[in-house]
Amino acid sequence: MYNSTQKKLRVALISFNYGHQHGYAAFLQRHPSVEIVAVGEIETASQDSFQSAQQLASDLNIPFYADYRKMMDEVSPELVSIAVFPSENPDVVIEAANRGIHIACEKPHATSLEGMKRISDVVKSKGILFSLDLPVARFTVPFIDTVNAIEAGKIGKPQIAYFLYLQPKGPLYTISEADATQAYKEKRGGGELAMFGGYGVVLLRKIFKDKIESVYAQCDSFFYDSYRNIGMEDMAAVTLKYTSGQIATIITGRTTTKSLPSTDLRLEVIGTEGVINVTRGLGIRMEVFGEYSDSSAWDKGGYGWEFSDPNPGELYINDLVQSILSGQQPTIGLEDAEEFTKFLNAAYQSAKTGYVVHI
Amino acid sequence: MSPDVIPPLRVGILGCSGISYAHAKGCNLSKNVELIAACDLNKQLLDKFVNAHPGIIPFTSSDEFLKSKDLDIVIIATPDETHAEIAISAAENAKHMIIEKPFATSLEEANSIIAAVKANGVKAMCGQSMRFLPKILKAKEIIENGKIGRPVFARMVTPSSPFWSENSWAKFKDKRGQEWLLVHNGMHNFDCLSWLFESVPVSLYAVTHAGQADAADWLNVHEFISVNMRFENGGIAISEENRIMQPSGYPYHFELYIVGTKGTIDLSDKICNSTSIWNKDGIDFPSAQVNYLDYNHPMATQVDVLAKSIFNDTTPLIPLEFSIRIIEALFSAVKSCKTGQPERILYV
Repeated sequence: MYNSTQKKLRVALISFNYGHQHGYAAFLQRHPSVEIVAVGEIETASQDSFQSAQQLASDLNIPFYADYRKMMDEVSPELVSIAVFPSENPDVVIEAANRGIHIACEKPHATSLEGMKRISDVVKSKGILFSLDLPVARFTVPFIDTVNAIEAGKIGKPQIAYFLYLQPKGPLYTISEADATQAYKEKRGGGELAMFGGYGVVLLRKIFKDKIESVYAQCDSFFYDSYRNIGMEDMAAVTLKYTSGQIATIITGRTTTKSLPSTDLRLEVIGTEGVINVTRGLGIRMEVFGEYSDSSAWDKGGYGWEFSDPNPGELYINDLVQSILSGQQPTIGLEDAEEFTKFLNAAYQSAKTGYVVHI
Repeated sequence: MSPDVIPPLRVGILGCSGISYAHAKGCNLSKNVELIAACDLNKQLLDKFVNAHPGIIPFTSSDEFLKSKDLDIVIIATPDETHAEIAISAAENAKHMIIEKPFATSLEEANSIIAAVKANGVKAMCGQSMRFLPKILKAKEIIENGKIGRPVFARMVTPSSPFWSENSWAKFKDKRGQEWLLVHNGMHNFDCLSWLFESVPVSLYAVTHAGQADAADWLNVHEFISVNMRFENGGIAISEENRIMQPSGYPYHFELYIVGTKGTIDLSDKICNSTSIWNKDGIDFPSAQVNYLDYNHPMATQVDVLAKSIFNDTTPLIPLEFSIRIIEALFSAVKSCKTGQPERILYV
């Protein structure tokens, strides 16, 4: 519980390569226990990210640092929200962890098992808190209800699950032709499975309370030339087996369907005593579309998202802040991040070879 | 119209348990055929069926039934393992036929049936009634009209509670493998998906969950099988056979979700909200498990499709040469269940 005399948590933001950082800035700004103290960037930041970071610092009247290391040294934040490209996460996380700073990190937290291990080692050795940015997985109201119902024993032991996350309205939000390079794909850690698959993996980890044993994945570029040209999937269908025999299917993608009101987000969990169905799990979201029809409209404010309360992103931020203030592990922690990165590594290997990959 | 066939064509049904009632209803609704006979070795089942359909001729001998000069079409609705012998005999007796799915339980059987059908110049079709569900026909029409572009992903599932009891299953335990549900019911999904994609699966990976079979020594069948497949034209599909829904009484229904390059079809419907009885003996559908309006009953559409191919002397809409590929894909899925590895389908 917030105490008005309590010292506020000092938070800094690193980079704006992903749009959600704007939302997090707003949530942090209005959190009564938080003070945003600075904004930093990394050397490889895009011009757009750099400008966004500078603009936010100006709006909040706080310092901007082109070198995020210098920022951490000079303003000593207790928490950093990192929105660099996933391939850059290990280096940035290590810099922050070595300074004893808690971390909120964009997903996937690493694009290789080696990067994952570097992060795990430093987070554990420095005793900091690490949280993976996957609010949809655990802070969307229907999924909160689902997890609560399962933990209350309402469907018995979960055995089978189906998770679908298809973002419609492409080419909105897709990777543009100009951005679609091999280098970009590698920085991002993959296509839409990397972007959305973590929501399912982390949610299912909580539901099954078990680890993934094997993965079989099919990935393809069905919708966009920009993806096809660099061999990056815009659609994926993955079959998972868990160590105690549970089975799951994860479908992710970014379709061109125009008329769906929001992301098609579905979950079915079959237990030994019942079934839970979630359809249109993001039905509470409103999307506001303006005059622009291409992804460059992002920075022009031509369209955007509005959630009715409670916003999953805000619940995520609140959970993270509370976990730091209370010294507890955040709801989406390092083990979730590791599970997702292992899954992703296995899924891409499976899609490439056509074989089942055991984790 | 071929000169030697005059509507209505006379139909006999061989096998008088559950699904035969749905076929009978389809025949009664069709203007092209007339149900005139039924055959079952089980006198009790035959009497019950005949009582429900007054005026039809009862047969207790399949030989006499197949040799009857009064019949133009036979609908073979017997257990899967008996289809081949009956179908070959039907062809040799110049009968056109609908063979319930799966129309054979091995490729050798399937090829023998196809050879007999060809040699005797009769029309034969595998009973893929799900394809003729009005909403699936509508989905096909939507795809053909280009409204969702090219289908690239689909998921088709038909979930329900377990419908077997010790009384209903134990007698089949030694004859049917753990993947029986996949072969018996999965043929609907594989057929529909192949039809909707206008392609056939070329690789797949299947996973299973035993469900209550883990705890019941009389039950050896996997109650959940999920198949992740790739089609020749590049499309991806998930097909699930699911009798694992709980609690008991969870209604049998289907869900079909298709993503195309320009749009999405989301189809979910209960296909048996007519009377169903769930008890210790399993499940019974006294209302023939269908709730369609009479004019679009899938069994009527199916028998009409065969009748028209007979009238016009054309290949039936679902040629056995197509259905044998579906069977081959299913057998690959069975193999994948057993090996735990993906399988490529060679279509030898």
